[in-house]
Amino acid sequence: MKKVLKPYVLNKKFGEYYLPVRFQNKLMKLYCEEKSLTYSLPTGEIVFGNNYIQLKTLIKNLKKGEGLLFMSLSVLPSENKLRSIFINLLKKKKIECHFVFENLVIKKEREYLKINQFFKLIKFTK
Amino acid sequence: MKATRNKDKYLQLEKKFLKNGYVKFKANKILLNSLVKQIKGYIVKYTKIKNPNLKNFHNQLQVSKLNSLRIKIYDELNKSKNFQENLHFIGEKSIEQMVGSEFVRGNLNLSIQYPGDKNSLLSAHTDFFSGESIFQINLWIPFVDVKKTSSMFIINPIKSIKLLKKIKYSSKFTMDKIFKEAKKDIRWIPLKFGEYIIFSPNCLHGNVTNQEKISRWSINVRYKNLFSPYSKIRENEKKIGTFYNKINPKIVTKFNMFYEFDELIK
Ligand SMILES: [Fe+2]
Repeated sequence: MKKVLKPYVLNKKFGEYYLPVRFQNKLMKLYCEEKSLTYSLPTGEIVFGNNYIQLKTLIKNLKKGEGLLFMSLSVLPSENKLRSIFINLLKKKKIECHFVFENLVIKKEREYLKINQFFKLIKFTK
Repeated sequence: MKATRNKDKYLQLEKKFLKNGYVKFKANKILLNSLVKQIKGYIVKYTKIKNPNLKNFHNQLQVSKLNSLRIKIYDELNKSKNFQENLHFIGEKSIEQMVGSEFVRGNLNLSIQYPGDKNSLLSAHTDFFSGESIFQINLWIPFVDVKKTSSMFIINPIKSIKLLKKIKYSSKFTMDKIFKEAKKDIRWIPLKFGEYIIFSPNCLHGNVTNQEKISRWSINVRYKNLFSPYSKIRENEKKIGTFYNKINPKIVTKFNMFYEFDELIK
């Protein structure tokens, strides 16, 4: 059976990028088609507040065999402490994560390290 | 005498909207029937159904074919000047009372909800979750009688704000938990064919699985005043041209669009 990916989208800037959600959806759909994955309805984060409540809810409700799809690693919280909370949640549930811009898939436990390494490099090169 | 009566009506409307976050209106039945006729015409065009029955449409077309038909009708409605004008005549006076006659509006959204169908659900949300202006109103018009789960629900402004504060500031809750608590605050809006509502999408609203026996057909359209504030998120595209694609500028705005007086006051 094809893996189901649940897209998570932001209606505001992520890192240096901004892309209207309807185009994010199109790109994510295309990504799933190209990789023979099943695309499902996206969840949008709430633009006010910084608690990533929709992401938290999405991760909590993810069923076995379902993964997450992000436009970019920059969609994740830039604040280290908050990001670590989410990385731990993902690790604990062994959730496969796909990042379209970076063309990166995280599956194994040690691969989650790449997320923080990315944020460090971004910081160094700013 | 007439002026006082109109003022009283306006004040009543204002009071209801401020309290509940929505107001019911009566639609012109002749215009409404012409909208239904046009929708039925598109059903006949795109399916093999000769006599569409909106209420019992779930017995006429299987659910797997519903969304692709909905998208085709949606495209037609958003291209049809006639449909858009008739819909506008229905809501014109109430829209003017709410946001003024110099307005912008978004696309017409069509929603069809079969009994028991879990695919077209919209959990409780406010439209500014995704960056839309808080000065927006939504016109929601059903093409069949609706009640309880075949309709939409709304949570009044005071209770919505309480819940939204929890969503914004809480770090321990998930959305599911907050909405479980909100269940008691939900108010279903029963409407007869021939009625429509205008509501503030700042109030939490949405729908659940239609547990009634009829299919629900409805259209919703977003309006705001051309000059009221747009999205708070600077880069967000919920603005003129990309989101509000129909613009109704009044004469003095057109005058300034035509001449370059604005260049002189830079
Ligand atoms: Fe909405």
